[in-house]
Amino acid sequence: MPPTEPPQGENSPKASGKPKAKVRRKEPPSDVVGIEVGAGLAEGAPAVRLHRSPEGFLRIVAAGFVPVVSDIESIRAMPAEMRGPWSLPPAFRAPAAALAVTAPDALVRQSDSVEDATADFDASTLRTKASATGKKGSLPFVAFMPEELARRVARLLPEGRKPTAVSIQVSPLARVNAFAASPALSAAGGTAVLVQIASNTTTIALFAKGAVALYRELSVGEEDSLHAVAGPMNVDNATAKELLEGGLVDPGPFLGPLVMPIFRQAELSTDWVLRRNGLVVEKFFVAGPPALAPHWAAIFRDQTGREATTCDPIADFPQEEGANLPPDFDKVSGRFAAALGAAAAAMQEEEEDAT
Amino acid sequence: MSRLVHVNLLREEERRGHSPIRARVMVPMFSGLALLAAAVWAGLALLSNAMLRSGNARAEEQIQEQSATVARYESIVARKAALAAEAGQLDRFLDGRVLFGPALAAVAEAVPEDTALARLELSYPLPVAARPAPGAPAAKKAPPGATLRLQGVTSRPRDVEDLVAAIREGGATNAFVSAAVPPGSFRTDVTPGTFRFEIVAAGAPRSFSPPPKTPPRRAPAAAANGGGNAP
Repeated sequence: MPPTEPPQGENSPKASGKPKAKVRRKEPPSDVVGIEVGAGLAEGAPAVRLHRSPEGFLRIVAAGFVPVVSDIESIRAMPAEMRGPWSLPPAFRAPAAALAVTAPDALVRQSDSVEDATADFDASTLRTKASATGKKGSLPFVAFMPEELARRVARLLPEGRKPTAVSIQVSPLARVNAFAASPALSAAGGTAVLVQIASNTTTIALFAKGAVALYRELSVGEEDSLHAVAGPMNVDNATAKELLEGGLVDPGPFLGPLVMPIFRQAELSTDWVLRRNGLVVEKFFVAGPPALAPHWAAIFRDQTGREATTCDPIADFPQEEGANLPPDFDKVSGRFAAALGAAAAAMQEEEEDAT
Repeated sequence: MSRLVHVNLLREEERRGHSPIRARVMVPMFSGLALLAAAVWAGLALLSNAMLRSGNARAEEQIQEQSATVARYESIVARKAALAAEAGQLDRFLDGRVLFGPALAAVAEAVPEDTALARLELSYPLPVAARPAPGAPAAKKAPPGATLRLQGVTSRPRDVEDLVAAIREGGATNAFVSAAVPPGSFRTDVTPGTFRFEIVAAGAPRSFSPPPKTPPRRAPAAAANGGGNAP
């Protein structure tokens, strides 16, 4: 599906003639722990604690898997009146917490209206929120998740103890924010394309001058990629993953048909940015599981001749001296993307509009 | 500088504080304590007010009870003052009284044998003072004394002189302060060797000196006017 130019018709927030929503700015917190809810990991919920130095630089203070009940089905099954079942280890007790929710119905879409973004859902059961008016040439972001899920997530952390929730975000957008906060994007001059591989989805985020200009989510992810490799090789997904991680096989012939449409979308996005903003996008980043990201990048290089590099926004992120990190942080750092992105987004000046 | 997209689905009312001291708990608690303190203070004020009212009522009852006694006491004091004023006036009257009996007896004793009294006249004007002019102080002129006028016949002129001397210096001095034969009143009678004479004796002026007592503190108006009992 080729990227479409954002409409500037009568439904566009800019062209609709509606008065611009009043923007209210709040003092952002400087010490936040980001936690991914619904990651579905046996180790626990990924959590990253960020601290902003007096000079304004973000650094990782602690990262790890906190032993709390965080699978999404258990949270959905919690009694509505239950409050504060979570208790975090001391290293993660920042004053504020940002929660990134990973669920099939916790999504973000770029749309000019909440109704369009949630058209395939029962809007009455959703909690929705749109970002402030987008930058030039970009549409607002509409995040949503079921109201009942949002209520339960808001009550996971207790009152009267650190941390308390200051933000609930959806994981896909939090992962994009993790890349936006990483040194990789700064090194690319703020203009790049990110292809983020998740379990069942892949997101394409195009950054122009440091801001997300275009966001697309495609229903092809890690599971599809592993299946595409495992099927022809007659192995299971886990074995295929091990083979891919070891570099023992060239998955190009298997993954090419699956991946190329995604990169075609990315290329079309760069054309749109070129026409729209006059910006030439030369940097392509692929982030995701170590078993897949290098192969996806290699396929893109082979097929288009453009430079594509893998990136791990978390591993490259500055760390506080003596930060509390797990021993194998380099291997599992990709799992903290949503947690870090949520924390980083909550630490920037928040803009709220009336949605 | 990268710009992150923060779309926060947490509602404002879902935000919680991490401080153990929660404003939404402490504010109502302190408000309740303040209200309780105000209620206690109001209760104490009402109780104090009620006690003061009760004390006032008791004091008024006692005043009511004592007022009858005070009125009785004041009436007694007034009555006493009136009686004292009346007694004082009686004392003045007694002090101003002139007893003529002994003086006349002394005059009778002093009449010589060859002298006969034909007429004895004792005039005693009432001590009525003239009404003073409005605003003018009352006159302090002493009331006039009595006048004794004796007329008689004697064969010895010397006896007339003795009688005058007896009145002037004898036992009648308490009543009369002077005695004399008015000029031209000693003359010969139709009977040869006898003489008619007249002696006029002036009594001492009456004195109503105040009694040597301390005047009463209060006297009712009627007692102060008290002229009804005055002589």
